[in-house]
Amino acid sequence: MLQRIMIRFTLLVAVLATVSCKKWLDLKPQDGITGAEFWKTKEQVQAAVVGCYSSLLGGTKPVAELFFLWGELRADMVTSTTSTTNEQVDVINVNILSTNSICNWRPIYQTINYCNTVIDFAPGVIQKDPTFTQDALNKYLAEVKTIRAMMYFYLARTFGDVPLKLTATSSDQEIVQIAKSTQQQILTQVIKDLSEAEPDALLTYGNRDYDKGRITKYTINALQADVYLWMDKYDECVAACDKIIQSNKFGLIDGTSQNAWYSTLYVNGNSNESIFEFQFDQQKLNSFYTIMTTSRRQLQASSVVMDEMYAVDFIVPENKDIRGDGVSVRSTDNTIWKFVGLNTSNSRPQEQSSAHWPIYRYADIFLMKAEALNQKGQGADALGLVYAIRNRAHALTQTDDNPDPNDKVAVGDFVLKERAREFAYEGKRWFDVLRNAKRNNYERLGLLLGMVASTVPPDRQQSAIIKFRDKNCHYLPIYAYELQTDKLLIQNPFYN
Amino acid sequence: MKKMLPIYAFCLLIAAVVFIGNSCKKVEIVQSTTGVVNIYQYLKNHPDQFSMAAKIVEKSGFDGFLNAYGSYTMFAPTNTAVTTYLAELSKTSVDQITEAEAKDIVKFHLLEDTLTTASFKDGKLPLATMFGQFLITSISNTGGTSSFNINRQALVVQGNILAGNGFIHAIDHVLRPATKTVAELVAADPNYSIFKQALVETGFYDTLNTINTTDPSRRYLTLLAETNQALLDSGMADFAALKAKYSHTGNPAGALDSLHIYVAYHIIPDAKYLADIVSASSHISLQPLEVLASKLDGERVLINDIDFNGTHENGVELDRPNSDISATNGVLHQAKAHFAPKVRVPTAVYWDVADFPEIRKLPAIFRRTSYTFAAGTVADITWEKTDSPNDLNYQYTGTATNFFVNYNDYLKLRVGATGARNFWYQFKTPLIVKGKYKVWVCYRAQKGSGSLGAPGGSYNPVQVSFDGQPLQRPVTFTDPRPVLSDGELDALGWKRYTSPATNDYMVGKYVGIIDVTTTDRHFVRLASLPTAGTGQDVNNLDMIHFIPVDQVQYLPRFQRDGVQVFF
Repeated sequence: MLQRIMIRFTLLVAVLATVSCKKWLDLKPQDGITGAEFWKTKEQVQAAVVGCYSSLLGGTKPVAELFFLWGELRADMVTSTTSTTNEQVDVINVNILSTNSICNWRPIYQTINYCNTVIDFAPGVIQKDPTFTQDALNKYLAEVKTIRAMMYFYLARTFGDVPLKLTATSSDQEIVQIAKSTQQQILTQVIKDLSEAEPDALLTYGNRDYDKGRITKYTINALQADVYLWMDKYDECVAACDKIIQSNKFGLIDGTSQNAWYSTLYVNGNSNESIFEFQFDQQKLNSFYTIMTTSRRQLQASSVVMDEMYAVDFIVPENKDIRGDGVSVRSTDNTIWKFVGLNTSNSRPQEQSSAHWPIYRYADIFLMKAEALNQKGQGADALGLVYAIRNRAHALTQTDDNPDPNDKVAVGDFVLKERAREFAYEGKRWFDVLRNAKRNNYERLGLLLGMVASTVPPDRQQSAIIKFRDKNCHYLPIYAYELQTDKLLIQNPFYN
Repeated sequence: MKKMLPIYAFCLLIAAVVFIGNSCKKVEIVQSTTGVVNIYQYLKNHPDQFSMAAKIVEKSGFDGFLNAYGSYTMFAPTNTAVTTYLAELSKTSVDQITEAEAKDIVKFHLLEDTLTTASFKDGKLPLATMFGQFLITSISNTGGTSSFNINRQALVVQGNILAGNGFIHAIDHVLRPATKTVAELVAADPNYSIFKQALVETGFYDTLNTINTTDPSRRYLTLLAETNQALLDSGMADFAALKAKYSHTGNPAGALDSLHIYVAYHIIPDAKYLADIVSASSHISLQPLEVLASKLDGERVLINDIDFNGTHENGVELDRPNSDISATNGVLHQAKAHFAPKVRVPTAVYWDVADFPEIRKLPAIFRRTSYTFAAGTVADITWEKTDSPNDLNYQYTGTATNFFVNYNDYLKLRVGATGARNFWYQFKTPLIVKGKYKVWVCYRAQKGSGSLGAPGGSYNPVQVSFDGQPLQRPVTFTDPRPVLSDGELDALGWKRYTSPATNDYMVGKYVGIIDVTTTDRHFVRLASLPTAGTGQDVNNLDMIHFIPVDQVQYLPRFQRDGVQVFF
């Protein structure tokens, strides 16, 4: 009797003990791949670096799409259609709330974290893989540091002050709450990263596609020029530009035939003019088809682009700026053409929507240098560079301001307008206008006010103008979800 | 058996201990879907900011419904705001406010809809407060910081606070409703003394001095007042001069007197703030059938800045700082110059439909080659099927000898009552002066199938409407015109609109008489009649003529190079 009770009892205890909630048998962490299994060979390091690049192409909202929206929506070259999303309309109307997902920076920080992971873990591989050299490691680190710097540069220009995270978040335990660093601190870090990366970066990978799709020394110089220009450090900017110009590795693609020029520079990509571009291809399409292609496109070119920026020769229609109708825009229906055209007249089918996203081109080096030279008081030299770009593009005489080389403001405005023509829809316009407006303590705030007066609907015009008088309004708010999860973040001024 | 009992008990005890020790932790189940409180409760929960506002709400007796289900927007004054307000009224505490006063305060701060700051524009909020007056929003910049400004009285210190039944916007001053009528605002400003006298003499002073509760369409009125300086600039130094210029009957109060008409032309029904004025291209004035054209030029708000018959007429600017002044019964704006309704004689409009701004911007195409426009790319021409985008064909004929169309171009429309073609096309006309006109649709006849002039094949009768009113006769794009003399054709409702006038497939078809009531741009719609069936693709529309009824209808004729000839 007692025995039977004891057996039943033991069984009961056994049963109850095993139906518990705690998992005793599963010993592996559930929140990630174990570092112990990865980071063992140089092939794995390479895979992780390539992962940083590919994160630029995908994500919840592709980085290229964010760069396009951040750089163009608030500027004057795009306008809404009947299919524009409410969030896009709100940004155009200077009506941005922190719940607007366009100000969600997550994809950027995702890439930053991939870079941080490489920076944290790749050095440890040297001990485990004897074929992995310090030299090879330094080259990889130069690449990821530059990508990280580029991401922070975009964040600082878009949001102003942002959290600066320089270590990897590789497991749940490492999630930390961090406060914002100032824009100045971010830029200092960007400069530091770039100067660390510069000596180690490669000049070439021996392959045209790699040279344009991965970070080279020239990419670093281009980014340095851009950052210095933003920080009003003109000598450094010119020096960085000169490094690229004196390398004699780049040139402007000939613009005699518009179709050939468009095809080389934008349709096929990776041209001799390109310095760095995001490498979309058939496996990884860009997201511009839905945003820009005809029937239900979300955004289109605003009418001033053809009317005023490129202008039209009404007497001899064949005489045209090659960057205008057929390349940047299709003027018959104001389609933003640059990334959706297969040539100057036919559009890409959706499965071929793989136009590269240009970050830096040789033409950019010319115009950045021109802007810096003008600020240094070398207006005539600056104009020489601008006219080199204009002549290549067969720009119309109507758009030639012909400024006095000694008139800093006039030359500056001319460079800015030329940048709009040259880099239409390449995600640069807003940052260009803001950079020029904020120079010398917002001396040219009028540039922004004049721009916003023409882009918002009439019944919001006055509000938008006065909002833009507040310089905090030039930066986007922190996305609401980030504020909920990171209690140390404080919403940007103007948005609370 | 008895002694077994303790063993059983012992075993169960152990089992229980083991079971409890291993059992799952109880999860706290949240039973409400949200912890968000309603508006009144929010005010109560934040006494450091809103204790006084909550007290006013309580006093007004609205605390009940502000804590119940609904959709509201409340502009909640902070404690400092209320303190300032009380000090202005020389009161020391909220208790000294009467219940009626409290009710008015709360009503003026409350809207029956949920509005976030995203819906704040340059002008009034989309609906009136419960008090009955509109609130206006704007942005103001102080010391480099921009913030929302409500009614030009208070700044938003914290916007978009979500409550269960709406939004709260915290403001730094108590809002105070307008106390003057539009007429009183004019009377109070010595700069308007001449215009005020004109209002009095024409009887509009009383119209603008009352709150019209019987006619909702006249509940709010908008006045564009002219200053003495504006009138002086036009040579009228005092009221006598103004009266001498306009009053031709001697009785300004009479509806037919020109001074009466002049004043009525300055009043727009409804509360139209500047943002509303620039959002539409024209506004009907109190003078029957007279419209004020409006537009935004850069930042300037212009009235009657129009192109008429090929000439540009400069408009009158409204002075922003002195406009958008709210009154109990409307809005007051200030015009920077003198303006009056123009007397215009009905003028013929020979409208080339294949000439619109979008195509003029394309010099490589305009009058050089054919092109198909997608839906939505031409502002003034719309059609039924926006998803089959290629239905507006701009056709250039070159030197083709069988298309004698004006300027060698026309529009090819795909019209049909059923099937894949468009049931209708709509065009916005150029400016047409008010008056009576005969309407002529001028086309190049063609049949998609079958031969022109012979029975059978395509048949496509189309109904023409003007501002939604169907005209008397249809036009059939498959019909050539009879071969008769001009007089005979006129009697039958046809004309030869081209020169040379020999081809019977170049057709001007009379479709009816219209009575244009306002000098404005109007809408013409071509809609397929049911008998058209699937219709056809080749409906070649070249021109539409609006010719005053008392003028010669069959001249001028149009050459291919666009020259008008009168023989």
